[in-house]
Amino acid sequence: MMKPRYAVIDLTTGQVTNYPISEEMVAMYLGGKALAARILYDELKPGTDPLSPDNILIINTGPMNGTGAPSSSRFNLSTRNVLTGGIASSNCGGTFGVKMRKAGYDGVIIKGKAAQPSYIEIIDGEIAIRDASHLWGLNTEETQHRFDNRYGMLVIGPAGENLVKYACAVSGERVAGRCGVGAVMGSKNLKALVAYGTQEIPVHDRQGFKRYIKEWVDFLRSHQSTGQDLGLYGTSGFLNKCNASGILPTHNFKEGSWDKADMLSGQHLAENYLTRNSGCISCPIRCERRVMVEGKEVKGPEFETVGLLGSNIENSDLGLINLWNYHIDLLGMDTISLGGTLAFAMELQEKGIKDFGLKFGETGNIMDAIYKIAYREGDWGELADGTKTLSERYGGKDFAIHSKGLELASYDPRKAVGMGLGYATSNRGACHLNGGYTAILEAIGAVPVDPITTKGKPELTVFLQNTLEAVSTAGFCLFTAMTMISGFAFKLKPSGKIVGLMGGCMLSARFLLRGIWNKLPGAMPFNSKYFLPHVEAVNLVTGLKMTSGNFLQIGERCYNLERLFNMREGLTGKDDDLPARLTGIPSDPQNPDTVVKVKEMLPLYYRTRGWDKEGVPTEEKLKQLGLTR
Amino acid sequence: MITVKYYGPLRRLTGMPEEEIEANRVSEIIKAIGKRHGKEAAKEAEKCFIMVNGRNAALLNGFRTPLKSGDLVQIIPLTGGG
Repeated sequence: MMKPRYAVIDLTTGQVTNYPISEEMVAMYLGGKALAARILYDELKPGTDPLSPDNILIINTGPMNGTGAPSSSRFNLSTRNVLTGGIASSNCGGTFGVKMRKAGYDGVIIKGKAAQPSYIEIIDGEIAIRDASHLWGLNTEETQHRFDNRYGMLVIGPAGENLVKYACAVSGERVAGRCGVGAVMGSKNLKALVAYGTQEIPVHDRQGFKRYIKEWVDFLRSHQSTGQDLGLYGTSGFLNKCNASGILPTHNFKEGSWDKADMLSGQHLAENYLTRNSGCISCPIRCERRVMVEGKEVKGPEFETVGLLGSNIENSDLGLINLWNYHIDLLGMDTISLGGTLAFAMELQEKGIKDFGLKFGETGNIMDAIYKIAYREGDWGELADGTKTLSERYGGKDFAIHSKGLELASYDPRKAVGMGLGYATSNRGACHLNGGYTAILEAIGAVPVDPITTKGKPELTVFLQNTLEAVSTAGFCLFTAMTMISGFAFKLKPSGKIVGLMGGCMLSARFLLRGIWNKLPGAMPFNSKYFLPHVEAVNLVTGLKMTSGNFLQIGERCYNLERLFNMREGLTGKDDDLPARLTGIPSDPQNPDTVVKVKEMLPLYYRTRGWDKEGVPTEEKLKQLGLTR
Repeated sequence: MITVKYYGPLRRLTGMPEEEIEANRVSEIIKAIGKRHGKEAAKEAEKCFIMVNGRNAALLNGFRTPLKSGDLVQIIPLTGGG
């Protein structure tokens, strides 16, 4: 097995040194966010201010990046989270990760702060820190145009320079959106990283891998979700279903559906704005939307952006969202946190608590507000601090829609209560993906599980959180896991009793899912294309001999390690919570169960994870996972 | 009367975004769609999610799910995605 090559880049001293990664570390963590969590846990001093020079930013890949495996361009940024103070991991489908590997590095660990604006150049195994004074102040598109277009790039815009707490980093038009990773780059005077090289990506069994990948791509293309729907309608394809299910955030998550939502759907986008679909490197799914904005073809908005800058602020003009999305990317901000913060400011105005001049349904001043936030100018500049800080400053904590400080993604969890538990326990804050994305089963997918019951949700959430963690760690897009819902289910009548029964069976599997984690990896001594096709692909690339059990245990190990990191930074079980609006006010006034009963679900969630009553991983669990505090 | 809302291809096949239908069960809605808009529309409806007052009929009683006057039925194409 090839050992990954990592460098430590100290921006204060300008020194570049190697950081050794052992084969044992690869077998335990693979790469991506899991390996980054290990390094952060070992190297970052607890209590470090996220925006201080002492914070560490890790940008790394997994073993699959650049191998040609389907949807394997995802790379990772990990650091101390600007919004939550816990762990940050932000994932991006741009070209930088693949190009960095081709340039000879699997990851870089960035420390310190450059004396003046700088960028890091990684060319054919050589790392140099260069002056970026001429780039400072440019937007993300202008910055990238200043480099050779063969380079893989990762840049920040003005929002990162101005330390907007939810600033993102941009690679091409893809974004590492969440947790304020762009602000961490800005705090280090780091405008960009660029990479280029021609080195071969190591693959242990190239012939076997080639055969396997062909088979897997055919499988993805034959599945309705990954072979058809995502390509046709993008991530907003299920917006109408979310709306009908009552989970589309509306009016700062006061309601879960909106009568104008149809104007925001993926189908509406396809009929009125779509020029073509596109996708990341080596991805057969092609979920990216291309739309015309200001006379040029650019990336269209994702579902999260459409929900949070649409129904959540009561805007039904999808054309405006296309335009805002483009400008927010130019400035370098997370559309999820930005949309959530705008809605919170609107509700502060509505309740007479603080008037930022922003009102639900009024879109005329939003573009101006977006720019003022990015540059931290005037009253709107305050919104750069995010929902949690604003609620501490002005009040309104009950309707400040975040968990641990990170704004919720575009799913109201009161009619998808497992998703609510996922948001509350997600290590990076209220993220749907890190939270397990249980909403896919509860309100969106072809096999529905009861969205309101709490039964089975803790077990399902743990299973999905660990699974997605493992998939991400290897360098895959999470959409490759969509095929876990059998293609067979898509052939059935979606509202017939059979799929209802299948959903019921899924919840009944809770007893199995509850006990399995103490019996891994032995309890799952197999690999299957229909369950987790990723495992065999990783084996062929690395030479490891993992089973599905080993793979899922890597996900579980990562989740526990991130939890340890959060605890060391002062987060506790008390932070596994949601705002009172979501836990106390029913989405459906006629149904008192349409709230997220976090307190009811947590004890079983903790037990399933092998944590104590306070949510602390037990020594036994840590030993089982080979983790030390 | 039941308010029935259409999305995706059904809107094209029926030529309308919504209509009122008299029915006591979900299956009767499908039948009525067939009668009013043709077999193709009814077949398409069967391939969709049928939401009764925001709940997936599959988790109620499937096509036998009872309906009462004032209920809202939304018929939405099955889409995977994320």
